[in-house]
Amino acid sequence: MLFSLFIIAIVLTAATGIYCIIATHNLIRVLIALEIVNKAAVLLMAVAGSIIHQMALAESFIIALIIVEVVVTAIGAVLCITVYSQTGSLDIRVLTEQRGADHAE
Amino acid sequence: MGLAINTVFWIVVLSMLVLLAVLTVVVRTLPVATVLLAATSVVLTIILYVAGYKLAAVIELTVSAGLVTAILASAIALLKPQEEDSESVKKGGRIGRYLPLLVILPALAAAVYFFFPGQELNFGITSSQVTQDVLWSDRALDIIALALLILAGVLGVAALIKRREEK
Repeated sequence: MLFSLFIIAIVLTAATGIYCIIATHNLIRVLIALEIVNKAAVLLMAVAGSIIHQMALAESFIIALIIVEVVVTAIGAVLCITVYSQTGSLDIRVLTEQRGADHAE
Repeated sequence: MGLAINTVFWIVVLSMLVLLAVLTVVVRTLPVATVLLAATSVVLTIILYVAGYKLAAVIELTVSAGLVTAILASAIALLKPQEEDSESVKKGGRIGRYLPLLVILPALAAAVYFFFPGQELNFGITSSQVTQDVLWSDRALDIIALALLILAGVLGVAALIKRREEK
């Protein structure tokens, strides 16, 4: 029962994040959705560690995941600011429209 | 046959995690979404702590609920005076975009519950090794890779900011 609860929570959290990445057009929201998917990954790692009785190993992987998460967020946030200063918008569709624009000029 | 207090606790906490994640995605303004993301991190911290991952819980609370929230809030603060969340202009359209979640999430939950094989889950049964030993001996290469990753992140941020200032 407990295992099913955890797996359901992991799947639902990951699905929410992935759906947001697909549905949204805002770059900051994509970043937030990536964070949510990462939380599901952390929870999955915790469950996996308890199944194989290697909680110390799982904990080290969780710490690595959290560090990767913060680096991705920092780079993503700066990229959002840079994209805004270049295009004047945070909309992904604007970026798609500008594909190859520099080469056309 | 009633549910054990332990099970009720996990149901409540895991439901809160999913609910906060959905609210983070659905909510209209970005600052509120950032605060809800921090709340999601706090709930994950509670889960990790009760499950026995105490070191990971502390790092999750300080880094994910603290540092990541500060980074996102700074980015939003830098962009917000210039541009409101473009999606918030169309109120009806934004909520409508996330309506399929009402179908997708229960369907996924039902599918996992009925088709996923059960496993014994015993939190708190630790192996003979402690996390510090694993980190500094078995996973020493990971530590070096993470240090390089942080360095790459710092250099990347510095380069992007410098390029932006030059323009």
